[in-house]
Amino acid sequence: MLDEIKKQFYTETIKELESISRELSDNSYSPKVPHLSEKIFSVSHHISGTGPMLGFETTSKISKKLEKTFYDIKGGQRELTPQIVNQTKRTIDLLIESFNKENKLD
Amino acid sequence: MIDKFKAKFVEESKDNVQDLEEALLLLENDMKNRDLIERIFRAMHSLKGGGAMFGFNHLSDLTHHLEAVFDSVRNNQIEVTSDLITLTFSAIDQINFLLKKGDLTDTDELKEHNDFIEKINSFSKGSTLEEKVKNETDQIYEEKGKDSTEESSTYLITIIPEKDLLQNGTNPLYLLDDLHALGDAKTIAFTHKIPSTEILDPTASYCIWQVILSTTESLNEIKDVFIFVEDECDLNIEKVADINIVNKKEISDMVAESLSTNTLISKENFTTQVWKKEDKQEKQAKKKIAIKDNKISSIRVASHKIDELVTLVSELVTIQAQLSLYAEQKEDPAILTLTEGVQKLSRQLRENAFDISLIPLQTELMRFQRLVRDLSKEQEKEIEFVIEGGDLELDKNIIEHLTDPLLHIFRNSIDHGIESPKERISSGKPPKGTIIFKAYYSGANVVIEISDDGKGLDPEFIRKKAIEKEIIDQNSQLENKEVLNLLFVSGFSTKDEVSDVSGRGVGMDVVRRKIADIRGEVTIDSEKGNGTVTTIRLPMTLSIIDGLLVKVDKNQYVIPITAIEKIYALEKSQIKESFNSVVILDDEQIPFIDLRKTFNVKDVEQNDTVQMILIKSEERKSGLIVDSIIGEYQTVVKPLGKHIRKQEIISGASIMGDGSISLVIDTSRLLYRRKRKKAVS
Repeated sequence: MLDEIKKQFYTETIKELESISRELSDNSYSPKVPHLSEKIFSVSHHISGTGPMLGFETTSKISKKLEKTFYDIKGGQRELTPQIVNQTKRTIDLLIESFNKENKLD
Repeated sequence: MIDKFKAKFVEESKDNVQDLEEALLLLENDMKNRDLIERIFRAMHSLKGGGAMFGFNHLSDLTHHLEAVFDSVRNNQIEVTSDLITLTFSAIDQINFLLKKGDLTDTDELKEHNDFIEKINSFSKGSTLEEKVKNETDQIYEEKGKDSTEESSTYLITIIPEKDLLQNGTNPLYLLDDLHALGDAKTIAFTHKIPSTEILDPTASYCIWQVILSTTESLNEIKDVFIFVEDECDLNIEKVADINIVNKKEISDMVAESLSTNTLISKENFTTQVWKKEDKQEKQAKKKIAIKDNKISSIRVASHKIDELVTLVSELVTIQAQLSLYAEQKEDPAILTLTEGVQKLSRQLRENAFDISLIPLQTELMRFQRLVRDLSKEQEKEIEFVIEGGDLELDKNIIEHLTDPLLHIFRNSIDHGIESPKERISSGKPPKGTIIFKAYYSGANVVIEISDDGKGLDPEFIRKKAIEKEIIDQNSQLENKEVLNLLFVSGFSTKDEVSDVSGRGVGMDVVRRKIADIRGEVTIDSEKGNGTVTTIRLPMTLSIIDGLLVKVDKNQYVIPITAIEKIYALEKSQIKESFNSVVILDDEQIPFIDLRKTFNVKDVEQNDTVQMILIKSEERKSGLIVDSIIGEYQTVVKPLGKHIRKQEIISGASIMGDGSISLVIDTSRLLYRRKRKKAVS
């Protein structure tokens, strides 16, 4: 049962992450990033919350950073600068890498 | 809040689009002009950046691609051609559409948008465009990193990673790259903590980095580089100089020394340097100059705020009139002095407020330049559009109401005035036709003339049409000018609205009506074979006028001073004994309108002496008979309620100092109505 849940979590989340990564790469100057902010927050929130229960510990740790940053951006406490977009792109790719790695461990 | 920013973005983008359109029109005549190409590129760049920031993604997308094309033009990879200019004009239409609509959701609109982008891409050479797009993208970041020595500050950044930094997949070299992208940087890697291979843990981080970075970016921008690793390293960012010192010899020496001794550089190392002090002084001097020069020459204000200001000033003028009346009644010298002061101030305030609401005609003319260009191309005609007096300013409310009438007049000139090059050559004219837009001040009015050197109007044709439509009798003897005026007669036209379909006469009555709505007049002058001149005479402002307050029976009326030529005192008998409502004054026959009759005043005894105010409108003169003249009056014109808006001769109402109401007479319509009645009789 747990395996089933884990598989489903992985499949759905990786799809979301890959979609975000694609969108970020497709739009080098990130015209869609403000629109993506909500999406990035919700995926990272999902990973941080559910990930540790299903054994994605490193991934969750990384996603927590994203979650915190995009929570601030959403709330207007932090500005979405090109530099943050740049770092987000990198971190999303790192997240995918880590997610795949931790999925293979089991 | 974001909606407010979005609205501001749309507003500012309109300026950019206008600038773009203007530059493009100029570029069409000077395709190698580098300055214009740069101007277009910059406008695209601003639209792209702003679009992205405020969620106009499709707009950003479109300008992104178009900007890449113009970048290729800038770099001499693509030449400016008429096709490119036409494409860019179409892009402007699409930009305007996207600014209005926001991001597209309709499938058909999306498809059209994507097709259009494809079309733009075809102007670049295959992958070159993609490279351009990418390069430009990178450039945005690079531009941010670029510094000018004047603006840069230098920071010392110390990064001491946690041992397990690498285990989370973080690559610190990327972070160093990102720092280098922000400006001039020197990185010092301290490797002395790396153990021997026997005990080395390949997943652990042993290095320490220090970066001396000179950048124009803020401290926050630098901190953002570490946004996702700040918990995994000991990070310290300190400002060490207000100028770029990265390439100074002292820095190279400092770096070499710290590496040789494996000692981290500290902020104190920088403060001991003499160069900092000197440069800082220079910098401060420059800064002072910069601050001195940085005067804000203009600010953007929402148009509704200006409307509110004008309304408030209008209210103030009304209250001030009440105050003046009160002061006169009380005959208190102190109040009278105060009232005079208030009157003076309110007049100045009124003038300032109206001056603020004036905008240059040029802003409106851009679209007509475009119209002339597009329509002439469509109809394979060659037309030069000349603007004289485009910098002249008019009340924004008047300009807004002018668009439709002007559009119609221009279309008429292009569609039916200017002939095809072939026709023009055969009638001995140059193949290229000219439309001239000329604006100038005339007293308290602004005059706009739109003239073309086309085939002009045929009075005989208009006469026949007027007879056909039973507007005039077959036996009517009319002069050419009178015949041309028939174009404005309601009923001569077959359309009720100013439409896209232009034809001489079609909708000209609507043009006249719309111009009259803003208290303007329009006349046509034309010579068959030689062209047409349409003249529009407008007031400079709509809401406050200088008027002459007159009395008819118990009621007070306001007649705009600008329409008045002279005032005569007449004996009542002169009016009664006149034939066909005409009196002879100064050896001239002057028709008159008795306002008692106009306003149905019956059975009230009139004074022995009445006043005749000679007014002039559209070259027609007439006298207005009133019982008495009260005096000059600054009038705040308020619109009439919807129930009485349909009546013709009153353009508004004004509240007097004592709270009573005076009606403002529309002299132009009054004279027009009289003429029409005469024609019918």
